[in-house]
Parts: sequence; structure tokens; C-alpha cells
Amino acid sequence: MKGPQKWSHAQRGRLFEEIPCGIVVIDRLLKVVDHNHAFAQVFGEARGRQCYAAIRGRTAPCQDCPAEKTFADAQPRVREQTGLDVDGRPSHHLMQITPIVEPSGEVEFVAATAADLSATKRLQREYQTLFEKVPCYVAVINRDYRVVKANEMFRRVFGEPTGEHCYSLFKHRQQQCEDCPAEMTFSDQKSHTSQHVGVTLDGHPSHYVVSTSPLLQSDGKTSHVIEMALDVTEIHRLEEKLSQENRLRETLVDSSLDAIVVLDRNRKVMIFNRAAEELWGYARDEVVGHRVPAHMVPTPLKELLSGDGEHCVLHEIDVTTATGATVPVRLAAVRLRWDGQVVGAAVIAQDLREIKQLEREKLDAERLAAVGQTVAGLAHGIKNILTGLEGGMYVAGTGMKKGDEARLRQGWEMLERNMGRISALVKNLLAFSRGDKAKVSLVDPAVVAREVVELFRDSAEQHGVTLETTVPQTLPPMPADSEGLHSCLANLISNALDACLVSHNPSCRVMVSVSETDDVVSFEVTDSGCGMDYEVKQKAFTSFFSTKGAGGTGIGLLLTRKIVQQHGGTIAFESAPKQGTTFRLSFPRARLPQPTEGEGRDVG
Amino acid sequence: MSGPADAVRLRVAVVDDEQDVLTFLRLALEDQGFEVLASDRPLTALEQLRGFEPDLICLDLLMPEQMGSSLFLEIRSDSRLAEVPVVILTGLNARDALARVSGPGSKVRPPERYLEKPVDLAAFLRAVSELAGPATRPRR
Repeated sequence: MKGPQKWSHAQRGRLFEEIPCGIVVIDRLLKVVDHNHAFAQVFGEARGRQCYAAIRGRTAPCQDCPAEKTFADAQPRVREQTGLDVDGRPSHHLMQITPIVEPSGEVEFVAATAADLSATKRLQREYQTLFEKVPCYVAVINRDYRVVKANEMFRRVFGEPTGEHCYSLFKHRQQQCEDCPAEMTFSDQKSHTSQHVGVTLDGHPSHYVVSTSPLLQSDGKTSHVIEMALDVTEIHRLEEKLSQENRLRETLVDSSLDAIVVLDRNRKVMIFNRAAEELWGYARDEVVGHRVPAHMVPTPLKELLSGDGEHCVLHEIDVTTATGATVPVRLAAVRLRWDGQVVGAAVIAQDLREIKQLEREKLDAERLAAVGQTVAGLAHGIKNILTGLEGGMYVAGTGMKKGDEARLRQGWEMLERNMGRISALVKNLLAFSRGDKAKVSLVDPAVVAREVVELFRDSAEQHGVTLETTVPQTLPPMPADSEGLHSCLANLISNALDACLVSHNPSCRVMVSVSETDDVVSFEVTDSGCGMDYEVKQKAFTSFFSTKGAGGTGIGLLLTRKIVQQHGGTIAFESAPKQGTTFRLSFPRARLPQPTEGEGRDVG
Repeated sequence: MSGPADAVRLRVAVVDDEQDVLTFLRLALEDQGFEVLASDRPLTALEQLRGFEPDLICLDLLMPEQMGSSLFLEIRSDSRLAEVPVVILTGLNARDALARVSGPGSKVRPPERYLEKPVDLAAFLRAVSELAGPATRPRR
């Protein structure tokens, strides 16, 4: 290792050359006598040129030339100067002019060191632009809280600052704000940010996020604070709107009579409304944020959630509640997407208990009405029989009085006939009331129809009536009272055969068909028999009305209608004299009674 | 009972679909000396009534909303029958149904009398003689 070397003249020369700051030496004639490398890099080779030409591209000395003054008074000077660099671009420098004083006291040369200010200048310009153009209100505030400088946006809205207080400009206040962030910055010299509500020039509230920062002086004290106020009124308005819409949505969802459950992608419950609480028996807090309990989700819905389905509607399905009870619901589910991505699913369930109850009550009411019609029909039947009896007594009585034997016999026959009608009526009433108990089981309507048709096969053949069937091999089973259904069809087929027997049509036919369309099971019995005229049609369902004389009790259609109504169905017919009759029984599946197991169940 | 040979017998028409009722009323009225038309066919009754020119019509209302009332209305709007008094015989509460098509607020004159079945013969004959007069009256 070498010892310390002596600082040499040559080293001194190299320092002059290599110091990263331009140095130029000028003589009294303002001619460049020497300069270093850093100077040449900016202004090019300048030895022998006039300094004003080399540095500033001028042809004459500068006015107020600092070098000349230093030559005159031997005082150093500092001057900020803008020159032209070797490529002709403006170049900012801080020139420090130093006299080189001879032992005689004369100044023969001055040296000027040029510190490049271009970068600083550029930075200053950039900050100035930032200050001016930043899209928020920027103001410089003094210790009196007066705005002394403001940026373009500020000036555009509040005008050129003329020493107003910031609180008067922003908030139309007469005194300083209680939570003044500038005051805090003045006292602790730290930045502060807070939200403020101001007033716009036209009097509307405006919302600002205000940040204050100290502008430090070289002595470390803060004479001014720079305050930036970001106008968030629009954001605030949107937030308010969003929050209002959220509240509206929450109110709507919560007051819906249908249960609404929203699940996220992981089947975590996000929304569980009041109706959902009532339906499933869980409190909202028990389920929201948790995975939905597996038993709450009916299988078809699970398939939607785990499969590719977009939505599903289940018209009636049982869901299991917290207590393990099952509740019938109509359920709709839809997959929720955001920008095409699955984000969850919404489930809407309508509690069907009340509707089903109403349906049951409606059916009951219809059945009661049917009973009422029956009773009215009965009363009418009885009154007619009574009138017949009274008539019989009158005719027989007057016949006896007159010794008119023919009249006596006529009266006697009337009495007998009406006694017979009373007796048949009582029997029929018993039959009618027996039918009240119905065993409901699942039966195939096609099978029932075939069975009943077979019962009439022989009788039809004997009377030369063609008995045809249009019955599919099988139909979906329907819950029904099998015996009642048998009676209905047997009544209709028996009526149809009778209509054929009294008709003059030599090739009479009876056609029995069963079909199902739109969840309605229909039985049809058509004959080409005598048909019904207007009066018969009007009385078809009247109690104990019969056109068949002693052969008919008049109860058949009444009983048939009762059974059909007990099944929630309807009976209708079309008929024309001498052309035939069609009876149609229609059973909407939705109105059929529920099947019962074991013991018979009263559907009446 | 029959009137004198030079007297005119009053005519009473009875329309009822119950044969026994019809027989009863026909015989009872004939016993009183009336000339009786008995019809069990409401649909064809109108034609018969026009030909018969009755002094009184007794009408059974079985299903007033569908049939009986329509015959009643036909009678009331028939030029030859409109003025004939009508007794309604009914087993059902026909009064309400007929009230809808006749009486106050309607141009149709209501039936002159309602009688409930079973028929009280004495009341029936009283009504007939009140409305039609005695079975016979001297020839004009």
C-alpha cells in the first residue's frame, strides 16, 4: 500500500477539467480564455469566442452584464440565466461569477461556474402544471386562513383569489370551521385529511375530501398550508342513490309474501327474507352467511345448482322446515350471473298451504251446493208426489161418491203410483247417502272404463246395440273412488243403451272413450239413440225425473253428478232428439282428492 | 156440476208436466163445470192455448229460470193471451225468479196469483173462481 501522495498542480488541472459543473474563464474583453469539459458539453468549444456569443448566442454584450460589474468592483455575483446550448435549445443556469484578483488588486479574469438549472426548471414547470391542472381545488392558505394562491379549477369556480377566507369560499361561513384541517397542519406540521360539506355557488350542498399539507420554509416553519379539496358530490350522490336503492330492494324483498332466498356460488345464504323465515322456520341470522342446510333444498333444485340449468319452476313440491315438517310450495329458481360468470342462485317459494286450503274450501262449497241442489230437487219431487197423492184421493173420492167405478179405479191407480214413487224415493235416498263414503285409491281410468264396458257387453249384444270403445291401453293413474267411478260410467252406459232401445234407429251404437288432455281426464259416452228433447234435457239432473216409466228411478244422473262433483269434476252433455246423446265427465287432475291408504276416506 | 144448456162454460187451461197433477186438476175443474185444456208439453202449449182461448191459465213452473218463465213471458207478450189472468203453480220458489222478469220496473205484468204445490184444492178453486168468475155465465 502506497502512502499519501502530494496534491499536485496536474491534479488541480484535472479537477478543473472533470468537475461536473461548467466553468468558463473570461478576460476583460469578455472573450472566453478557457473552459472545462462540462462547459463544452453544454455550450460547445468556446475558447476565443465572446462569452455572450458562446453562451447566449448574442452578437452584442448583454445589458446589465454581471461580468463587467465584477471586473469593475471585484465582487462575486450570482445570476440566473437562460442561454442557448450547442444545439440551440434554451438552457437554464445559475451563474456564479467570481473575480480572479491579481496580487496587484486588479481583476484580469473572471470565472463563471454554471450550475445547470434546466432540470430544476423543468421540474418547477411540471409542478406548476400539476398544481394548475389537477382536477381538484388547490389553494395555498396563510396563517389567517386566507387563500393566497389557487389553481385553475379553483379560480374557475371561485374566481381569482382576493384574500378571502377559505371557509367563506368553500362553505359560505363567517368564521373558521370547527374541524379545520389547515389549523391542525399549522399546529403539527403534518398532513390531514377529512370530509367536509360545503355549499356550491348556486347554494347546493357539495361534498369534499380535503387534504392539507404544510409548505415548509427553509427555517422549518410553516407559513402556508396547501389545501386540496376533491369534489366528491357526484360520488356522494351515487352512494346515496345506491343506498336508497338498496333500502328499497331490502324493503321489497322483505315485504314479499313469497319466500326469497339468494345463495352465492358456494351455496352460502346471502338473502333470507321474512317470508323465508316464516316458511322454513329459521331466523335470518341462523342461515345468512352459512351454507344453506341441505334438507332445505329440494332435489330438483340441487340439480339446478350443481348442473347447467339456468332456471326451473316447480309447480308443487314439498320443502322441509326447521322442525322437519313438510310444506307444499310453488318454487322458482334462477341462476344469477354477473358478466356471464355464475355468482349464485335466487330461489322464490310460494307457500301453497293457504291456497290449498282455499281450494279445499272451494271444493267443499261446491259439494255443499250440490247437496243443496239435491235437497231442492228432492223437495220438488216430494211436492209433486204429494200433489199426485192428493189428486188420487180426489179422483178416487169423487169416483166413489158418484158411483163411477172407472174414476175410482183411475184415482186408485194414481194413489198406487205415487205410493210407489214415495217408496222408490226413500230407497234412492238411502242409496244416495250410502255413496257418501268413498275410498280413494290410485286407479287407471282406462282399466275402469274397460271393466265397466265388459259388464254391458252381453246386454248390448242381446239388444243388437254395437258397443265400441276408444280406450288407450293405459293412462297415468288418478286418485279416485273406484266404486264411484264404476257407478258413474255404468249409469251413463246404461242410459245410452236405454236410449238405443227406445230409438227407431236399427243400427244403434254406444261409444265409450277415455282420454287425457292438459291434465284433465275425460270419459265420454255417446249413443246414437233417441236423444233428448228440450224438456227432457232441462230436467236431466232433476231428482227422480225419469222418462223410463217403472224402469227408471230418476236417480242415476243425480248420483253420477254427485260422484263427479266429489272428485272435483264436471258433467256435461249434448243431445238432439232422434240423433243421440253424448255425456262427458271431466276430471282436472289438480282437483282430484288425495289418495288414502287403508281405510276409506270421506271425500264428500 | 154442469151449467144450464144456454150458458157458456168458462175455459181454464192447465199446463203441467206431471201427468197425475194434470189429471187431478182437470177432473176437479171439470167437476166445477169448467171447460178444461190440459197440456203436459210446455213447448207446444202456446199454440194450443191460442186455439183454446182460455179465460184463465194455470201454469206449472218447474224450472222457472229456464222454461216456465219463458212460457209465461210468451203468454204475456201474445196478442191473444196477454190479458188472460195467470195462476202460477209451483213446487219451487218461483216468485223470486218471476219477480226478475215481471212486476215493478218491468213492462211485464206479474202473475195474478201464486200457489204452492202440493195444491190445496179448495184454495185453488177459490183462486180460479175469483179470477175467472163462476164456471158458467149466461150467454150474451
